[in-house]
Amino acid sequence: MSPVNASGPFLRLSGLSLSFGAYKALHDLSLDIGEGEFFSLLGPSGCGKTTTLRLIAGFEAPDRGNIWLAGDDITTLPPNLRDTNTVFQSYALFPHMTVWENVAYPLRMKGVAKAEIATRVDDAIAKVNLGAFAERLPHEMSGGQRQRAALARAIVGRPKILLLDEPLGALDLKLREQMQHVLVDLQKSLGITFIYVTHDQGEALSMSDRIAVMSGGLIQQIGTPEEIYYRPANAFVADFIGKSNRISASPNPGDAASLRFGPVDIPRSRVAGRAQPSAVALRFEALDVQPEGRCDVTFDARIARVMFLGSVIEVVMESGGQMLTSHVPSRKGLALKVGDTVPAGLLFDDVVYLDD
Amino acid sequence: MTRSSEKLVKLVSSASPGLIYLWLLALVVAPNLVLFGTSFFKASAGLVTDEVTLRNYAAVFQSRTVLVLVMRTLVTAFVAAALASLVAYPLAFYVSRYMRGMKQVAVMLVVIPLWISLLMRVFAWRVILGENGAINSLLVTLGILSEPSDAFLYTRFAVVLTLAYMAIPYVFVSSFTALERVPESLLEASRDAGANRFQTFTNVVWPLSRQGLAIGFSLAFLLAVGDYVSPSMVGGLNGTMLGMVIASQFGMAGNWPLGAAQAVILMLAVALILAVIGYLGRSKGIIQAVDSGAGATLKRAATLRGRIGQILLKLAVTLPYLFLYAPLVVTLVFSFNDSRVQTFPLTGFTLQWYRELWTNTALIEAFQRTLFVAVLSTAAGTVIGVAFALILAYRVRAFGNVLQLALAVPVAIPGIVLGISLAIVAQFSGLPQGLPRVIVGHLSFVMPVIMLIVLTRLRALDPSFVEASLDLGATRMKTLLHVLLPMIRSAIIGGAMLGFTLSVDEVIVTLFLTGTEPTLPVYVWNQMRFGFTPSINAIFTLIGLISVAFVLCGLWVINRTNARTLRA
Ligand SMILES: Nc1ncnc2c1ncn2[C@@H]1O[C@H](COP(=O)(O)OP(=O)(O)OP(=O)(O)O)[C@@H](O)[C@H]1O
Ligand SMILES: [Mg+2]
Repeated sequence: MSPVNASGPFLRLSGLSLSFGAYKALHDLSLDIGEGEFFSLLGPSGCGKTTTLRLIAGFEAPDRGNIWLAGDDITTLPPNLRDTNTVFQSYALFPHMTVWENVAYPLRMKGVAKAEIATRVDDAIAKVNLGAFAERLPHEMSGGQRQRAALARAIVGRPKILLLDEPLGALDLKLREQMQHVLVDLQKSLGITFIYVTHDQGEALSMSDRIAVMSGGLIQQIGTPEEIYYRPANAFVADFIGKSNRISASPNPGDAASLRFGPVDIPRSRVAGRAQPSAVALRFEALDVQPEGRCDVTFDARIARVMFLGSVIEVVMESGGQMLTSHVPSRKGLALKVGDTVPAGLLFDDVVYLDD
Repeated sequence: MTRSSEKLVKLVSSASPGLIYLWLLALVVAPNLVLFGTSFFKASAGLVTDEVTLRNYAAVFQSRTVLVLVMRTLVTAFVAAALASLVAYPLAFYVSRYMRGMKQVAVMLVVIPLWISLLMRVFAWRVILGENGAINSLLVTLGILSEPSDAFLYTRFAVVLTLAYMAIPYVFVSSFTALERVPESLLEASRDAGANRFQTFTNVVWPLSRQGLAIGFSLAFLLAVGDYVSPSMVGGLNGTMLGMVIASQFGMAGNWPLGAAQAVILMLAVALILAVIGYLGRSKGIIQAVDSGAGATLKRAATLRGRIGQILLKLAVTLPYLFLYAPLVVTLVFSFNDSRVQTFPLTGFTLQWYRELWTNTALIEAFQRTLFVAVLSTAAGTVIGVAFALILAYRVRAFGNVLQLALAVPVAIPGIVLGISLAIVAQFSGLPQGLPRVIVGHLSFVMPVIMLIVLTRLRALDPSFVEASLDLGATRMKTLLHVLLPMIRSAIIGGAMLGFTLSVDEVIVTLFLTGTEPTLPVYVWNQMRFGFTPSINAIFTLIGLISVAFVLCGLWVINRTNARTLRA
């Protein structure tokens, strides 16, 4: 248990494990998060996101492993002494206190002077646009308003880390997008580290500096949104993020070092240095129909289905006995018809090799 | 669907709010009006004359003794309720927050003594506190006292102790229910905001649960203030309470108007105190459904660190249970003791009292009467209570809360006042003396209890269930039968069980209504004053064991059905 030196990461989780009875919720989880970072935990329901947050907040103690914040080991520190605040999945606003009283609560507990409380609470309430609702009780407000009140209560104490557990889960699409902007702006202006739990990949991709993709109590990949999206580390991430064709691959009978999947052969130069992958992933939008730009390979495919999705059109086609799905921009795809045979193409760089 | 539930449905669907008014008139308005009226007439030679007067009230306010008695009664009841709260609330807090597997058992253990005759428990206290009682024997044996002391029994202390004892389960249940409704996430949010455990308690747990405590406290206060059985059994002269004096005005002293005036004054004082308590215990805001459910973390359950702290904590949790069960153990032990007098030390083992049970026809008849009254009043109370709850929940638009409160009045009236007012009305109404009066009397408080429990459940139901059912083409009748009744079944069963318990155990109201046919508690009450047979210990031990078995079976069935509903 050596302390992390001052130049180490702001928050370090090292080797955290936690079981509920016989069920292992977290296996040996390690993670470094930098100061001022907007960090997201992304994963399917039940993968351990909330549990991880609860460990950081101090509501749960790990069976094994340690948590360091700014160089101090806080593994056993009780939650009221930690410099973290949580926006709860269920808001957890105190039902017997008005919005104002809720927001004032952390400052009161810290023994901040009355006058300062007043200005800081008003300030926090203004930041989330709830000025008109300060005197309301939680049950007299809508879900989105409660959400914002919970946010104000969590930021008013200027914690070092703000933990947000699916804070936008209960909101409609419009309000959600609006709140996403509020959150990102808030994070930039406050400079607080945000750890954001969500199972909505759009949210994670658009807001985060970095993302950890989790599954079954394990971290699958950590990276920037671009890395996660374009270079998934394994089949799980490729499946979970965005929409991909998953195609089984085999060595080319003619050249054992190159790879064949569906109608496509990938030359040995592009596969070099990898163990023989058993499958590849290809994002829907990486497969172009009637390509106009540069392509590494093109082939003919017969259109089996066309579906209009708004900004894109989903085209399912067949080539060399392999079904492939593509997303093409709507304007370009409007002329496509079922039964047509069209050229399709892709770049080798967009192919993700999966070895599982 | 069974025949009886079909009948219930018919009854309910044809019922209208008019029935509620009828009930209110007969069992709430009339008794109180008559009592109030009687207090303004002059009494002469044991009869009520037709001369209107304020003399009865003047008599109360001019008599120092009566005024002192009123004060003493209120203070005693208040202290008893406070004492019960001091024991029950912390216990409820501990069980609710820090117990996991044993939680249900811990709750049941507090509730079970309610199923065992109150009279019997009070009597057992007499055995414990008396000069030849358990405490004295213990203290003398240990050499702390050189000879038995008479300082325990027949004192105000004994009265307070007994009244507090009786109240603990009520305060516990009420506080526990409130505490269980405080979601774990709020406590975490408070800790997260920097509050320590103590601050979290004072700022979050207490404001959200004090209403439950206030309700329990009020109940305890009511039970104590209207009681005259316990004071006359363990209080002696020093422990006299107003209830005993009022009762004597309707008995030996034969001055009904004066007794009525005293009762009215008692009732007003109680109402005032309850209003203050209700105000202090008022709650703000509504706990959102979305907050609940979050899994409580019990890993950090231990508050007191270290081994000594743990031992002290265990002891503090065990003591209330010892207190609750001491009288029951005494009853059980003496049912096997081969002496006619209930004193320590024990003399020897016998089954004689159990054998005598079968030959004591008066006792058996009293027992049968008790069952008869309890079954009838519970059955009628359940049908009417469910019907009224449905009417209040779905039919009455305006004044629903007022009606609900009015219907609950008999529960909130001190037992002695309820008994007397019902007795006066029964006298006027021509209802035959004896069991019919007793049944109606019991109905007056059994029905509201069942109704309130069912109504609470109905109000907590998502209205969309009913709407969904109607939307899916079910008639109102079918909705009731297939949707509503199954969902409130456990509330109905719980309410009926509570109503049954209340009826079986009732003494005070029954004493005023029964004639020459005593129920078991009244029979025991008479026995205790005019000669006691230990067979009573035996029958209560049996009843106690049977009811515990009954309760455990009930719990088991409810658990099983709950599990099935969850799975489905
Ligand atoms: N108190 C508990 N007791 C037992 N099991 C638990 C407890 N808390 C969580 N779990 C289990 O641990 C796993 C991880 O739970 P967690 O709440 O962290 O999931 P999550 O990723 O936040 O999911 P969601 O997106 O649905 O909120 C789940 O399988 C859950 O059932
Ligand atoms: Mg979660």
